[in-house]
Amino acid sequence: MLSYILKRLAMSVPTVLIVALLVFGMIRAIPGDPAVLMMGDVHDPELLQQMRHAFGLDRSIPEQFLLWVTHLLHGDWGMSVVRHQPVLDLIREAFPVTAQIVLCATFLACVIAIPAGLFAAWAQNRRADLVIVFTTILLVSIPSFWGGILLIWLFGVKLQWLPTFGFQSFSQVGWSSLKYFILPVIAIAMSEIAVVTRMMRASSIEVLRLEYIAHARAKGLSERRVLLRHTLPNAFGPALTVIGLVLGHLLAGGAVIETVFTLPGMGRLLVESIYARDYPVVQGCLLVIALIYVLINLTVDLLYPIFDPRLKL
Amino acid sequence: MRAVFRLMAMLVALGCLPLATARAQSAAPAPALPEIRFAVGSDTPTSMPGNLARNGTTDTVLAHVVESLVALRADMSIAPMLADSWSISPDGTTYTFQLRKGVLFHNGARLTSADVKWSFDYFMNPRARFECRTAFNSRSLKVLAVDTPDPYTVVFKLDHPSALFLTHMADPRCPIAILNPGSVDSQGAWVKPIGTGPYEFTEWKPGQYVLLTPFPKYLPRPEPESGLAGAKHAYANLRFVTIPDAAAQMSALMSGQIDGMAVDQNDLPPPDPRWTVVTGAGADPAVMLMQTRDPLLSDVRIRRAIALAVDLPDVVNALSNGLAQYNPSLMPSANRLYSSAEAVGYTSNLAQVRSLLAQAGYHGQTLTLETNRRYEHMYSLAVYMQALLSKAGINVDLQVVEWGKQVSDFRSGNFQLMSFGYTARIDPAMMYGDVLGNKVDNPMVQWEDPAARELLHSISGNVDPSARQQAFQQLHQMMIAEAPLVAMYDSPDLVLLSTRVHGFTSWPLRLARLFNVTKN
Repeated sequence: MLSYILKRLAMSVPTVLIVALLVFGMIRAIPGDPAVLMMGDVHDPELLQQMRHAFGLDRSIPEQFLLWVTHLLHGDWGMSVVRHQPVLDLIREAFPVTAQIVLCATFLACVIAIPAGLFAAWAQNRRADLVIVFTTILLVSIPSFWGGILLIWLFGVKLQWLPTFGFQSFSQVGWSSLKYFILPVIAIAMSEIAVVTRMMRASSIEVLRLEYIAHARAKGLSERRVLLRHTLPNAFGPALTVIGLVLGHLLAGGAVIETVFTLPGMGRLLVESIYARDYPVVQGCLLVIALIYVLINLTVDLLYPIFDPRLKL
Repeated sequence: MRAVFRLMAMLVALGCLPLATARAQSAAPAPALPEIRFAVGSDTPTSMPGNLARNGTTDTVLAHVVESLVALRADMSIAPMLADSWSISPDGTTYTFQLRKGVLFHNGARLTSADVKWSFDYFMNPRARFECRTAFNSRSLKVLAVDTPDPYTVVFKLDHPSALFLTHMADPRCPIAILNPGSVDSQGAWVKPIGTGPYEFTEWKPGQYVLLTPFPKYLPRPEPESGLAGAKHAYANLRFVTIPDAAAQMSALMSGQIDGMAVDQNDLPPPDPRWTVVTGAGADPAVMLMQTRDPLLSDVRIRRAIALAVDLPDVVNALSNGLAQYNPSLMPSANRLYSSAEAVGYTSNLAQVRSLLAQAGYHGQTLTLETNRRYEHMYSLAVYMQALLSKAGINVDLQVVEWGKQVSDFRSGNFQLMSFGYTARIDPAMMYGDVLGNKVDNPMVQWEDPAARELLHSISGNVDPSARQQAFQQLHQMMIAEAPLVAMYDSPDLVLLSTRVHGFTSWPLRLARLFNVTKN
């Protein structure tokens, strides 16, 4: 197990390096560097030159890349050229916001989608299945930002039950911080529920057709036991893969949802930094995102054997 | 099944982990006064006045926190602030300021002339990245020395007379704010503004809000409030809340979570007893730039044809929903020097357009009009102009680019036509100064007429309003004749406010001033 983990981590090094190289090159391919954008319509060639020197933009691109990688290896992720804060501090502040929302949404989605998918498969082509399938189609068709706007309009503006924007951590306001979570969590969970339910339903239908399920029923096991004991563990694998992918995607920063709900998370940090050509922050954020994908894929792979004993690490 | 529960439990634990770590942070004290919450579209990237990273939010927030020796009145004239009076030597090169006595910084220290000198020296140090350093250290104006003969007298010595010295000092975009040296750490790195304004910079949560609280020992000036000058009183805590999305700002206002927001002319909500719209003239000119070094547009006849091809007052009316007037001048109509001469612009004349195009040998070559979607008014202006110019026989392609690229193209002069918006300049000479010049030295300038540059230079040291007004009228006429750009209108100042808020007024620099404002 340990050697497998180490092997996988070693394999991820080239992936992360390629991502770093691509990110580094592509952000610099976009016209306008941070110094130029900060100067706007101000004409001060001396100051522009000084800023470009301070940001290291007067060096060649390969030199800049080597410098960045060298600093990274020493644990220095650089300074934001716009905010004058260490990149790592910015990520440390933004990532927990995204993580709290996304993990809560994923938990909520799993709690709803796994039983719903299983039940829909068991009741295939019956009324309950049609209702679940229709609901998932509806949910998957609603973009999360649109769902978010509808939730804000209903619960924030009309009913005024919940705040429409902002974020308060648990340390600031205690349990009342939960009211800031509810709407974004629901908005994100809606699309996740749809995706996971559909995958769970499809894989459960396949499992329910297998002989050992017929055998279990022939033994006189209750349907509840057949579903929970024999179907769910065998059908959960594909759903786990989808959950991993969705989780990675969301942890990378749902910029749109974070903008709609004014959450100071990773997505907003990344988008604002791209607009400002804040190279060190963009590079740092994208590197973290690459690492998140690597770690989530690894975690999913490690969890697979729990659900499918045929797979061995 | 147990494995599934284990997975769920792991997710919950992971979700709660950040909550637990966040618990260690300290809580902010609950405000006792009423709190006015004003939405801003972007967070301030810096708390230093005039830092290159600044944006409109920085200016708005810090206008409540810091003060200069002088301040701008509502009509953009100069009023005393931390200086009670000043005198100018006969040759116009020495300014002697008498400081107000009894003024305290937010840390309790008393304001003296040494703080003025320290502040000026700090801003002039390139390390500070002060955006307007060249305003005090260039060929057009250089401060040679700042002397402090006694604790309440400061003397600024200039290399030559300047009509803009005081104006630059009071510029809300990059004021020479008088700061306490405690604003920086022992290494000289910026910490936070310790100023003399009616509000203290209390808490800044990047990406979320800036909280200002009243400074209890603030001594208001005796004159009535006007612009950023006169008596300022702090009646409530101020929270500038960052909400990037305009729709989210609107829903926050509708649900009573914020009390005010700047609003776009095309997004005004229907009338409602819960809110009111405060409107006023703006000072940010919306323009269409024409690259005079482009082979086609270097011909003044083509440029004039473009300017005459469109009914500009109608376009402005449509663009602004009737909230702005056509202003062909680079001087905002709210400026005290604005006269009827500035209001004379282009009158649509298709016969003349055809004649000018024929004389210039125009054969339907396509021009490219560059714009962006970040600033919707620039995009709308470009769409209107493209459609109407094409109708008049001038082929124009629209090129929508990302704002960063447009800024880059603006700075390098790499465009043919560009829909653009200048930030308001508080004196017309500053605006003409940024538009006039030599494109070899500075590709950002738009107009290279040596006679116009000479005329502008001739009034650089002249403080006589009538002489300056006459020169600006002449400059305007020359600009209309040469058409290096087409000025359209000044973007109006529109603020949507909760009816619980009282005493808010508009001003052309579109900077929300929340001192002297109360909340029920």
